[in-house]
Amino acid sequence: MTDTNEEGGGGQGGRTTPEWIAFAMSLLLLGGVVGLIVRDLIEPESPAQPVAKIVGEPRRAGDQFIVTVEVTNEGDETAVEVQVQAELVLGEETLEGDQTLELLPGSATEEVEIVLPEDPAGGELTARVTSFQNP
Amino acid sequence: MTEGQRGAWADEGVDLVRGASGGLLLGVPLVFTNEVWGLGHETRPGRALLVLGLTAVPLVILNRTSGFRSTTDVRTADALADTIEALALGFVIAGGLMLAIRQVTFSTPLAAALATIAYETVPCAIGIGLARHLLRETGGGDSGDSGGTAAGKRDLNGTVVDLGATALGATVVAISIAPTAEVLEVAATMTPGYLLVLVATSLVASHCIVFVAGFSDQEHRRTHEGIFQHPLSETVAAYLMSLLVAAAMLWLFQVIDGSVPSDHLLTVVVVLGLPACIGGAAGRLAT
Repeated sequence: MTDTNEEGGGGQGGRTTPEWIAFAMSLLLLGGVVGLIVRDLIEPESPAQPVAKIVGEPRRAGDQFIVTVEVTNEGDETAVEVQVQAELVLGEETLEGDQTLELLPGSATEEVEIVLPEDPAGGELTARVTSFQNP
Repeated sequence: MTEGQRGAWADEGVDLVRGASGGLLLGVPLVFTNEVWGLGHETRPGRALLVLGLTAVPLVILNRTSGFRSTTDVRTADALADTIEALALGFVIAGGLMLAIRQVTFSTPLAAALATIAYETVPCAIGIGLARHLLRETGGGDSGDSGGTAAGKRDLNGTVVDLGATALGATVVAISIAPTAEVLEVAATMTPGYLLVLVATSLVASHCIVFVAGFSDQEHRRTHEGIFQHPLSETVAAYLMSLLVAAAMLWLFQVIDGSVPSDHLLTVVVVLGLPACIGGAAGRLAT
């Protein structure tokens, strides 16, 4: 720095003008990043709240039926090990299928597919999150 | 603008490219580590700040002793200013690489993206601080003696030496990434557009490391003769060699074989080609 000061023409305290401009841009960028992180630090995060709903129609695959379930985390915090269950009530018989989402970030939506042994048509099909953990 | 001012801008540009090159060399392995990709989702904002803050400590020391500039900082104020620049540049490189391999996307929650990139910034920023140490910088009077018998050998069969060094450097980096799940995970997210971004990133990184960053023997390299000895043709030839090495490593570890569809084959090879190409560039500088 010191030996390029005269060449740069704008040296302040040993740095050339381009070095000062690069420093200012870096400071701006880093300040922005730190500012955004501090904002997250200050703002209270709502706890993870994953909810499940069935999307589309169940489809047949061989002698089984696949149900697509959309899981949305309505909280800000991440949920892990999210257990999703589809429950089919056919008369007095209740059938269940499960899937696990390893990670569901805050505000994120993921889809899982759950296999059921019987045709959901004619029965009552529901989906829910049975459990999840905080990271 | 006077000639001196133009020179100062050029010097600053070369300094930043040198720093970015060092950052790429050290940063790429962690970028291809999937344990870090999800880390941002589990990281509290305070810890992300701590990661950046702790990274600044060794950077100040590195910038006091060497850093990424052609001149050595002797004042603490300069070292501190360069530390800010190294952190910012490291963040840009880490963010760019994570966007290129689609492990951070524009739909990633902002807090998670910032925390993930903060972790990836650590090796990139350290690489920037080590840029002059990593590979010997071209000195005004030392380019002559850096030639010697090695220069004579290069002039004789420079293409063979360069391609061999590229293959060696690419192998060293690619062999540790090829058998991991990361290559397939990244490949699964690729679209043709993103593949082109990866190809462009690989070529630009390789060219900058060897021909722009002012590392060892750069001036001598520009005087090489031979069909692949022009900077652009050498960069392209070295990239093709890196792709070949990437394919060989993937085949060796049974990630790909003859039954793999050609489009999937191309995708995984281009994905691994990025770290391989950066390793190949380092290999050419080391010869």
